[in-house]
Amino acid sequence: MRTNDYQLLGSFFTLADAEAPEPNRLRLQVQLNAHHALFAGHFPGQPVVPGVCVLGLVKDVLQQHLAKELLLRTCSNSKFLRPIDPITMPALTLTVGYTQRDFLLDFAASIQHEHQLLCRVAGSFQSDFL
Amino acid sequence: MPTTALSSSPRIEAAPWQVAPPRLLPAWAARPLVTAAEVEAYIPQRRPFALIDTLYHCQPDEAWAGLRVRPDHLMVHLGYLSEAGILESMAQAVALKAGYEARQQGIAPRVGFIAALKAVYIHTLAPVGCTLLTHAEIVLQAPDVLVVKTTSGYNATLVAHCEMRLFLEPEPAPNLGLDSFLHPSAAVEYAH
Repeated sequence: MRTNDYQLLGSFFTLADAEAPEPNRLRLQVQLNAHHALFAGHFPGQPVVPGVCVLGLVKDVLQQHLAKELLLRTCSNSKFLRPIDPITMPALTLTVGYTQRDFLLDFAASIQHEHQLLCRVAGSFQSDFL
Repeated sequence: MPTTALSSSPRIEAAPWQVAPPRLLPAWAARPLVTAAEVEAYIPQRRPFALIDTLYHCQPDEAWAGLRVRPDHLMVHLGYLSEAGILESMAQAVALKAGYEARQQGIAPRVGFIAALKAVYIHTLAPVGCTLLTHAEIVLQAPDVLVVKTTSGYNATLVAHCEMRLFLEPEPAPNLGLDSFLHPSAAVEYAH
């Protein structure tokens, strides 16, 4: 998969180091780019990571890890507990667990900043296409 | 020899069993309440990340809003508005409704965040050039929390539907006073 296939990976965030403590489980250090163009609009003078970009981040991480194209299909029980400020908390810990189920990839991910839970997302990606 | 279009020729009348084709959009779609030029006065999001254009219809419990998907938008990827862009467009449709109502009452719009997503189903992606319409239905309205059901689609294609919970910041957005100060001509334009 080429680099320009990722929407957010490389521009919006970069991955510092990754480890897989168990199979089907990932723990990564994510470095946010506080100078990304979207923070000029969300919101002016008060940058906050949009909750939906967390889903895009998880998608890009799994796409890169599995070297597969993914498409978000469903999402359930996703909670964004605190707004993520890219200036005060640029380094985040992302934990992703996933299971392959037929042509769907179920995932559950959480983002922490220094052991403070910021958000929790879960859902499924389509991983196989006709 | 003058030629007339077949359907507009006065000699050919519709047969009694032929019914008028259904109108795809209701009458209010022709005169939007908020157009793309003035949308920035109603939502706190700004240019590279503003994902709503137009407010067509606004009632206390429901609203219709639209987005013309442009190829140079930040959330457009490989010719389609991404999943994150679709969900953000739904959230901003609710923000636009809240901003429009706030402005009707003379209050500045408030910054809102997505607090929770549940029952999100994405059926297809929205291609560049289409107008993504969003219907937002208010399920619960509390002072700081909004629970909405939204459905998005273009033409006759269902794109996504979801239920989301939005958290509104208690104080009004701080940048809006500055915005009318920087563009004094814009404020006159929005004055109606």
